[in-house]
Amino acid sequence: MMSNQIFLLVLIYLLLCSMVWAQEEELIGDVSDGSRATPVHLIQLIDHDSSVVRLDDQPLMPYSTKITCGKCHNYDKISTGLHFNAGDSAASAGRPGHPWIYVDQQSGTQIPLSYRDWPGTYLPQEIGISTLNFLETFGRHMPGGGVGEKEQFRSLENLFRWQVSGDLQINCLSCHDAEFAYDRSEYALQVARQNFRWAATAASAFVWVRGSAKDMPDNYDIYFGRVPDQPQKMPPQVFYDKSRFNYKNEVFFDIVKNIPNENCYFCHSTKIVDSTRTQRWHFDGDVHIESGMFCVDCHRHGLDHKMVRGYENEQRNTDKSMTVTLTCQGCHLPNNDEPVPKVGRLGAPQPLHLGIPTVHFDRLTCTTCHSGEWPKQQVLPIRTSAAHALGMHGVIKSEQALPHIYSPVFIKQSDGKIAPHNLVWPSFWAKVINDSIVPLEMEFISPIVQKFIVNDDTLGIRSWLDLNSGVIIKILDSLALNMSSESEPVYISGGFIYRRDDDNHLLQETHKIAQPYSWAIAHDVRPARQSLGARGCDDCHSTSSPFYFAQLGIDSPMGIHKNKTRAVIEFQEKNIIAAWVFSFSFFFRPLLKVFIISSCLLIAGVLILYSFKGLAKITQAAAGKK
Amino acid sequence: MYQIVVIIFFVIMAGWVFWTVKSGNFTTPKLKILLQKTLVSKKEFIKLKGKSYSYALRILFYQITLALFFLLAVSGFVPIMITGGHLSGIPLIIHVTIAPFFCVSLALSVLFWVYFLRFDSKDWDYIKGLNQKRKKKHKAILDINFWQKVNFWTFATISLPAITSIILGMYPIFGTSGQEILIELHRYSTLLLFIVVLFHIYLLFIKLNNESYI
Repeated sequence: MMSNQIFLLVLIYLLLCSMVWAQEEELIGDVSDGSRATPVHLIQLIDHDSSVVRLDDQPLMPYSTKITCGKCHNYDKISTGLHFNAGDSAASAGRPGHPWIYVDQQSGTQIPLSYRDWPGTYLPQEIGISTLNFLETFGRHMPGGGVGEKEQFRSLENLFRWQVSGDLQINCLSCHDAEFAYDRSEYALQVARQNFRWAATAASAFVWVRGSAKDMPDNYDIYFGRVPDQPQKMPPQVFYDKSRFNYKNEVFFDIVKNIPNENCYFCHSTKIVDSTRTQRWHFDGDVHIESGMFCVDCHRHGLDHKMVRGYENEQRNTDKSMTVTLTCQGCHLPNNDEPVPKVGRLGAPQPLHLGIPTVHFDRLTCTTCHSGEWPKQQVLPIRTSAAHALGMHGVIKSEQALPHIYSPVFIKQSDGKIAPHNLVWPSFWAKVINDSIVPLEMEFISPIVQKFIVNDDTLGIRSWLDLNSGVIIKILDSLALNMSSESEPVYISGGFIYRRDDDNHLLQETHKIAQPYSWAIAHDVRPARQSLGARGCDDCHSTSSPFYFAQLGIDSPMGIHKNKTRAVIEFQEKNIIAAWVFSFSFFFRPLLKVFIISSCLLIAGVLILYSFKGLAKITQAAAGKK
Repeated sequence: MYQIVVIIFFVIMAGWVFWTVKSGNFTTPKLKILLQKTLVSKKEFIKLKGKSYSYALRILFYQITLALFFLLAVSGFVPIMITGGHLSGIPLIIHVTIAPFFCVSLALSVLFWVYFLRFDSKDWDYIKGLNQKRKKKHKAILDINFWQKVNFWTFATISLPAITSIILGMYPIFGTSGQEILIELHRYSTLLLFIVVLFHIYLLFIKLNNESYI
């Protein structure tokens, strides 16, 4: 009996060992053999059921990236990467980044969302957005994985919908497919149709997918085909280009390690909304890219896809010394402490910074002077891929379309350095419970708000609808009627919280929660001669300098905020009067130099004169004369 | 590093002041006399004629230079002692506003004082006397005038790197490492200037305590 138990324990131990070994087993594509050539990816397609896709299959199924690519590359390890680990509590949130901005024009809502623990953002479920709805809305510019395929993020009411839509697996091809016909916009459209399972396949150059999982009922069986009682609705169907399959049922994928910049730009583009520069040729782009570099030359990673973001003090579990060399200073500034020099990677030039006092390097990030749009008196709005769905078919091209993001705003970071940021003003309905403020769910507020706000956006500009105090009071009244007595509805907008008082007036209060959300930017990097300070101190130190005194528009649907601004210096934790006086002093700087240099010359002249006199005495003494 | 150096220096200086006060060498009446002897009132200044103008201006520039130096020292050293790093904000504004006036005043002081504080044969004799007394192991007699001259020339000499290090940094001549050297040069040379000024005050007190030295 005893020996049987021992045998069983040993068997379990061996089984566990074999499982661990299996997990850590390196696949063929995990470790490079050292060749710098790109391996040809002529591979068989494997569907979500691990069956090889054959052209005579009925129905034809989409291929699974997890299984097709995962055959040679460790998918689990890759899924811990920066682009896929937003919902992973074990992953470091890192410096606050670009959030997903949920916008509802009708309810005056513009709220930053994120699965990462970034202060100022909210989890989608906090405003009643399920993971399925989140992916439908924002999956267009997500490469899948993470919340798209982990069951822990799925709500019970959507359980059957997930069976129809399938997982939104990591779309390896969105970055690695260099084929010009790879259609990321098609991927985005498929995601919006809840065709998660089909999205990566549909974007491929040799596949067409039609139909929509969203139109299918919860009990739709993907192997069955059409829905009998709704024949007009098209289920997702796959059509492969037969000419792309060889006799072994293999297909060629133009897979590259050095990701083309255009692939990154699909999700990471920024458009400056500037009435003086409306054409694409008016802009130059990032100086690194224009000189022939790739985004991935700096934003590197290993198999784990934990990409280097490249900001100062980036915390990394591994390869920290290498990460440091991929920051601005790491590449461009000399560091003689290293046993082996790592600076000047890829030929990075060393800046001279002639005449720039070193205090600037203690107080400012490199990006302050070198990155983003050259600051102007009025902070400019921008449009980004993630926020405005740039690059998609049928994108709203109105420059006033929500969300409203402003850039560059020079803000003091948590590390004490000032850096250029993008900024968005949150506007949303919330409730106050026991002194804490939480956003209200969209499903709750939408029907109430719709009764009071008139949608007069007939031109489809998609900017704010007008909200006056009277309407806000009515909505707050109506919300209060539908809420428990312990909680109080409030509206957050333009940096303030709005609530009703006992006399039914609108009260305006300041609160941390109403403050704008901002995230540091690093691109586009301008050429050295277009950096702040290149023309002299006046670039920043003048009484009209945008660095301190640019006006940031307060963005809100409320009429009282119209044309209201705040000086960006308020975000730098600096005294505006002190900054103005200091800037004003630069007006006298030339005079100061004249005075000081003249004084120095006078002192030096006197010293030299008397030195010569002393020398004369010595020579006299040497000659024996008194 | 510099913050620690400055703190150590000021701790030693505070100890020295405490010791001086405790030993009775520094009292309020004595300070009053010292100020009366060194200050020229507006009334006196107007009364002065001819050659006396030179004396009045000499004293005036000396006083202004000393006062501005102390303001520069307070606006420069105190924030460094508290925060370390670089000057910024209101202390920086005060510092850069006072600095040009100090430079002009210092230059004029040097111009007005240099003739009176030039070294001569008496100083040479004093140095020779010091050497002989050292050989015979006799206690040397302190010649205040000689040491005030040394003080003056040291201050004038060190003020040049202290001032030029900052003014050169305002021109696109030096890169980052050059700028770092310049700022360190400014920091340590001003600390030396402060020591020189303290020595000057020390000499004034000795002079006040013992009239025979005058």
